[in-house]
Amino acid sequence: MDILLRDGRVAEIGPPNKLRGAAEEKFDARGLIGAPGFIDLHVHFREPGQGYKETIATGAAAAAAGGFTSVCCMPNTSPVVDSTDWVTWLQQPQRGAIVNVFPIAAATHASKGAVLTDFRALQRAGAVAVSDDGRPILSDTIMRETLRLASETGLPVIQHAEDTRMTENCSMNEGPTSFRLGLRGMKAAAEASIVERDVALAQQFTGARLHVAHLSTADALKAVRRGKRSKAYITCEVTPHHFSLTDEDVGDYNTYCKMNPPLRSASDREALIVALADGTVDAIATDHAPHAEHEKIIEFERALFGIIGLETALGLAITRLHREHKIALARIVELFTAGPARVVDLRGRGTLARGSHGDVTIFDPKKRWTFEAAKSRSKSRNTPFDGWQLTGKVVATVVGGKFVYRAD
Amino acid sequence: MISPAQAIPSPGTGTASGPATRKVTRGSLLGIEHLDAVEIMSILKLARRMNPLKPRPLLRSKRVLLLFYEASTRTRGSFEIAAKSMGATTTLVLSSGSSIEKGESLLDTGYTLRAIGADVIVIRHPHAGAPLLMAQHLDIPVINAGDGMHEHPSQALLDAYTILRHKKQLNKLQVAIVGDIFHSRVARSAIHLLSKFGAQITLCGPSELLPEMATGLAPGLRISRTAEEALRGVDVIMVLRVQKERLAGQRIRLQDYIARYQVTTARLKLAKKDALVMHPGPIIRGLELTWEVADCPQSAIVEEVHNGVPLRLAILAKALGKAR
Repeated sequence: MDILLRDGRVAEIGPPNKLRGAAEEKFDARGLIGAPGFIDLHVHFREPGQGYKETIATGAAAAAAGGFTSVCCMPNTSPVVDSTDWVTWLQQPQRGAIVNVFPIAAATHASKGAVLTDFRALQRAGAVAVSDDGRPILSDTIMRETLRLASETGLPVIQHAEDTRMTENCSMNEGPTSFRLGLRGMKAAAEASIVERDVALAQQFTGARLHVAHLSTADALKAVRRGKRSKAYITCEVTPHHFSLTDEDVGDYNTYCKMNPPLRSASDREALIVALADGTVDAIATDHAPHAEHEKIIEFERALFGIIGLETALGLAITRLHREHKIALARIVELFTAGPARVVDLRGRGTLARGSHGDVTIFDPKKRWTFEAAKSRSKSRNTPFDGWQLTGKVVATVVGGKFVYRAD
Repeated sequence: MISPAQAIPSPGTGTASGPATRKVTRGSLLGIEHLDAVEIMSILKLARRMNPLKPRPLLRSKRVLLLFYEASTRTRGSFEIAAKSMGATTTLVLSSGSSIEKGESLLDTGYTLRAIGADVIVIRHPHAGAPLLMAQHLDIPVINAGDGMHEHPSQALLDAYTILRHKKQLNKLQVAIVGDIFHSRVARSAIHLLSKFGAQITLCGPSELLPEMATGLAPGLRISRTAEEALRGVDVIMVLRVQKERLAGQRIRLQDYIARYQVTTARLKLAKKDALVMHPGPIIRGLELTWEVADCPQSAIVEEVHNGVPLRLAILAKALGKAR
């Protein structure tokens, strides 16, 4: 197939050499796959406030190198993105983003879980969802109100599903590895119980959309499946690290394997892979969470949660899901494109239909390469995948008809 | 040597990379888990050759840094006595009253102590893995004097040393470990050590203090929920304190605990006649064991403390490469 982009849009798509109209610039993608631009529903670009970890410009550069043409930024910055001013600020050209940035606004003021923000105003300013990511909404009343108000605007509510009352002082998944290391473990039930409650609450409001962020346990998947069978609109995402690693990989206190939700058991990982294949999972999202060395090369229990993930997402998906578990490439592309576009309702993205945005990701599904963290476009280096040999590499990334990344 | 054989993962798909995959300094003693039986035996044999009353001045002009982020009586005291009696100078740094209070990081504290001339650091820390982190970044040996709920290797070594003064061998020995195993670094180190020598270990305690996943620590571990069953016919009873300071929200009804798990004279009778009663201390009489059991003829509790010195002589001599 050939794709013709004009004025930032898909002008035509059709069989080779049959497109009308001349192109100024041509890209020979023979042997490669041209997909709709990838969409990451879950990144932490750390601005405002923590530019030493990542800026919107460096985060966006890493996104482009990973094939992502659109990213949704979580609001747990400093200050929290809970006002239209910050939502607007994030999208200004001065931020230097080479990919599309879609803000997710806080659901409550300063994500304190007490007073709801102005959803309608935030939506008009450009927010595509509301979330108190990192600070789960525990109160039933506040979560019910959040879903009710959001249902009137059509905004999805993204929940970091963790009952933090059960995970105090915990730094990894509960299991034989946490016991061996003498670390307090997070129970899988702390995730599932919140998902179950949220699914039940979402069913109370017509039009409510609940999206479960970085889902990591088999039990939470069961709750999502039940929710999807009801009339409620329930979606979920899974990260590359949760389908690639398990809690055993923490080894002897590897802080690059410390994230929240934590790496889980092997059976949880297997359940995630099944759910990625069968359609239960709507999107692969990276939860790209850059941190500086002094926040990671410290005692395990004191180290901050999170790893970077934009540049390894496609390689891990093809290596782990396609090659090892035989999930079709078309399904993997869907998890990076149409799936996430539906979750946050990004019209004209996640597709290459005529008239849609000229966002294209071109990748080589067979290319073997070695990821080197030192060469990452991100400002941070906190990744457990340094030195990994992966199959599947982004060759070029096009945003609004313009190349923003080309592999060397 | 004492340092654990740290696997350096070769780059490739499947093994997570990260700062924790760095090598540790030779001579470090970080835990029992990564030691093999031969390495353990060599420390025990060296300890046996040590004369705690008049050790050779193996550490003359050496500087031993005792870095303690947590309270300690036995461990700190015996490391200090061991170091001094071999001719070393010791310096004690506590978390209170040092720059740690001002927010200095663990590694920066380590670099500072190295810069002022430390030859070895003995560290106790509330966070699991802290000694390993230090050993990965400093070029001097690091000795773990207890890290969070993780390991307390010198305690396990002195316990093995003590057992071997009363029993011929560790292999096939029936051992019951009773009490708060979840919070206990002593238990984790002891389990690793004893199982490497083929002891048959029964863990005993309520599920809050002894979760089922504990059996993953070593092959062949058994769990028992009644003290009577656990103690029947054993050669060694290791009693552990209920660590109220680490309970963090868990509620244990102490009266229930005492009723079901306290080591009493009656329960002790179920064990072999010559069964050894051990406890890493501090003991809380009337809680995990009765007054009578603590002072009974079979009790090795005081002897354990006593044996801490020759054992730590051996650990320090090994760490500084002075062991023959």
